[in-house]
Amino acid sequence: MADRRRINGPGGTTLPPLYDDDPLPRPTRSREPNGVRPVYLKTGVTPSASGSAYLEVESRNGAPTTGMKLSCTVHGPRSLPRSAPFSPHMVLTTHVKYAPFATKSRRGYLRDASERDLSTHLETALRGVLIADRWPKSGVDVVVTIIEGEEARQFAVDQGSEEWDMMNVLSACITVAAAAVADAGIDCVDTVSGGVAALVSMSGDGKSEIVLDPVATEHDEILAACCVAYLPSRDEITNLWLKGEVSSSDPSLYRTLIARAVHASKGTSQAIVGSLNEAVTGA
Amino acid sequence: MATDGVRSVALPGQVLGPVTKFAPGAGTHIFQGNVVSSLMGNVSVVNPAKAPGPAKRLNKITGAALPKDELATISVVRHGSRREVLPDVGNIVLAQVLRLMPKQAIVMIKQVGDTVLQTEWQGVIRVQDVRATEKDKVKIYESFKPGDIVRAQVISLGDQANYYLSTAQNELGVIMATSEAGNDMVPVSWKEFKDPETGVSELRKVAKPS
Amino acid sequence: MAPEAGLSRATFAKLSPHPYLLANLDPSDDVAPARSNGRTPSEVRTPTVNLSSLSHAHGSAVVRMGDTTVICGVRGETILTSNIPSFRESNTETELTEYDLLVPNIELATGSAPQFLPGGPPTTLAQTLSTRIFSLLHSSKLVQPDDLRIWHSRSEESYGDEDDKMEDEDEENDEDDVANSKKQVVAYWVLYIDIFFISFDGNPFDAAWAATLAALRDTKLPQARFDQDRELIICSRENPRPLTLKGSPVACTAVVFTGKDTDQSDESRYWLLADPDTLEESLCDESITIVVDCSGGSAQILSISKQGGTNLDPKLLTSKEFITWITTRWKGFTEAIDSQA
Repeated sequence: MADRRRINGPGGTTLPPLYDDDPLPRPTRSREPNGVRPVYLKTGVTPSASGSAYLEVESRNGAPTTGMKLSCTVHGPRSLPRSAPFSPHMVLTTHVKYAPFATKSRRGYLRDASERDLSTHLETALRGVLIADRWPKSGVDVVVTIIEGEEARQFAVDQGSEEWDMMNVLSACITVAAAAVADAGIDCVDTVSGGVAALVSMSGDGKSEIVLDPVATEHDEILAACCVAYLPSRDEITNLWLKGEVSSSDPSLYRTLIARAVHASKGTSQAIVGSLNEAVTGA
Repeated sequence: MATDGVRSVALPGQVLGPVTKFAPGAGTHIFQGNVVSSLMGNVSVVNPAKAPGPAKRLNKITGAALPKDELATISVVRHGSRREVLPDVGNIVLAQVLRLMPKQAIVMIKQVGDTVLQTEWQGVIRVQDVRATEKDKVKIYESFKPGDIVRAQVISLGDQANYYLSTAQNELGVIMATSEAGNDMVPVSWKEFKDPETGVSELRKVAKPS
Repeated sequence: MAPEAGLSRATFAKLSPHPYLLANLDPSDDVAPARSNGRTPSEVRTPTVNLSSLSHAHGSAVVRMGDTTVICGVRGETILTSNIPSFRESNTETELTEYDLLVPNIELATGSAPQFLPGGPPTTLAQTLSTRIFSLLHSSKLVQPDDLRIWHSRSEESYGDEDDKMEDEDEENDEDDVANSKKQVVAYWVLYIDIFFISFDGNPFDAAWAATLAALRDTKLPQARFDQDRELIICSRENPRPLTLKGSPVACTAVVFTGKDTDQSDESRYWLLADPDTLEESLCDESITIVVDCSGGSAQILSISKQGGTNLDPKLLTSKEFITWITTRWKGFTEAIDSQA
């Protein structure tokens, strides 16, 4: 059944362009294993919202990977709908949506499972930071729009690389949402930021290594990855997402992976603190 | 002086100083013996000598137990011009009347104290809270009309949807009203507004002008 | 708390926005009249445009007008004519409309303003805007059907050579082949035009249309040819081809503000406020949008739509000031786009 509230286009199937030229050279990682990509953050991009932020995770110039662009708006604290039951604290709602042009294949207008998944992770990450009982009977909506999601620009769909990309997207969602919440003047115990680390197999020999802020297409294979939402001044993790295969022979590997992800988030956090400080002093 | 060595701007999570030195004010909380900022904004320190009565409900989490006597209150004020506040018991608010019911008037709170709100909160003025005297004779439709601007006091956080407001003081009541002909009216007595163009009077619970 | 100590400006604006705007436009003292946002009635927010910022789209633009920010991404996908039920080879006139090759959609529910939160179906405003963009795309004939056609010569024996030919080389080049091969349209490009509001502060149509125009100007479609064996359209990354757009229409919107906010407006005093913000839009019932194209030298009007109210008359629309205003507005937009192109 076609959605009659949108313009749907032709009834037949349309296909994205299929290229037969030689694929562009595969990008290689030029950063150190413990390097994170630079970020650009700006708050107050949506003046009519209570708080807002725009985050860009840069790709190097001319690189065939795209980096990420996200915008986040925070609305509230505001009154709850009349039907809502009494709440002694603030009710948090999160919403993450890809723009149709954010990824290689065109996204639909309705949220799919991965977007709902991201929303849930983001909610957990933020809930641990907000001092919700300072705002009784109120609700706050955090809306993240992914304008450009991390994905290889011109590759044929790699084997499942987008599921790893989702980790980077979540990490960016957490960081941008934290900045927007701070901009909205909602009490938080800390400025949370996201970080990702991955266990990748090295080309050639069968060894593996842990890298920060992994870009899936830059590596032959990602074995496992971990995304954390980390509070730097409290040394707490509010959300942890780890998946992949880690050989059971090395039980400490999980801990190391998490520790490296925390390290990545600290790197991002420094950049964010810098931008936010600038925003306060500039205002 | 307590202001020495205090950062001028703060972000959520940044330590402002030990609790032995500062009392937590608005926009702060306490963690591991330190006053920590919970907002992004400018830091201000108010010395106890001229410390005003502690603002209400700012430090619900942390407050109360701490001896505030000799400590300077440190607080973080949100950056930018917009500041969101919640109505609280005792606040004077400005509200617009939305609709009338036989036993109460539903209003939308637009301003708390001096702060113009970005979002609107619903309030209710029950018939027994309209005025202090002759409560049994109050009729809601002789006190307010939809569209009126009312000055009122918050008396309770109320139920899930409404704050409870009262206009039972001389200074409280309707401050701006429009007549049925659509003209702005002027107050002529404690219970009447008059349309200067048509000369018709309408009943209201009038706030005492000063 | 001292009652009646005079209401502050912010309070006045919040409690009674209409008289506030009226007081600003019609000041009692010597202050120059201005709108609540500080602009003069005919002053617009200067647009700024950024092109090609999205890497997954074939064309994209970001348009900012004050606090209204719009991102538009154009993405081409192909559809085989065999998948178009109503396809007729003889149709060379109404392909765009009949086969729905242009698909514009507006998304407001990004939290672009407090009233536009995600979760529900598109609001009435979003639907109206999508439809208006859709009809203007078609009525302005901005996109040429030929840019969207993908040709193929179905030769009987020698398709080996044919496959290697770029299909945009026209049939004139190989006259001798015409005998045993027939050149025909095998597929079309469908342009998905997605318009996202990042920030909303009034006048959505002008911004959305400017973003659409800029993004289409920025659009480059890949070279495409038909693979007969696989029945697929194959594209090449080499030499993508820009669209040839007809003219550059620009939308100019203004609202009419009347002195009274009640129905019985006895006096016919009114102000025409160009490029309204959200507050002004909420206070005005009457609005006019003119789509104009001055690329031919003189102002050509492509469409006029006017809603509500009875203040604007034909005399005003033909007045010199009005024509000057829309011409300036056109220049403002096209210069902003050209400076990036």
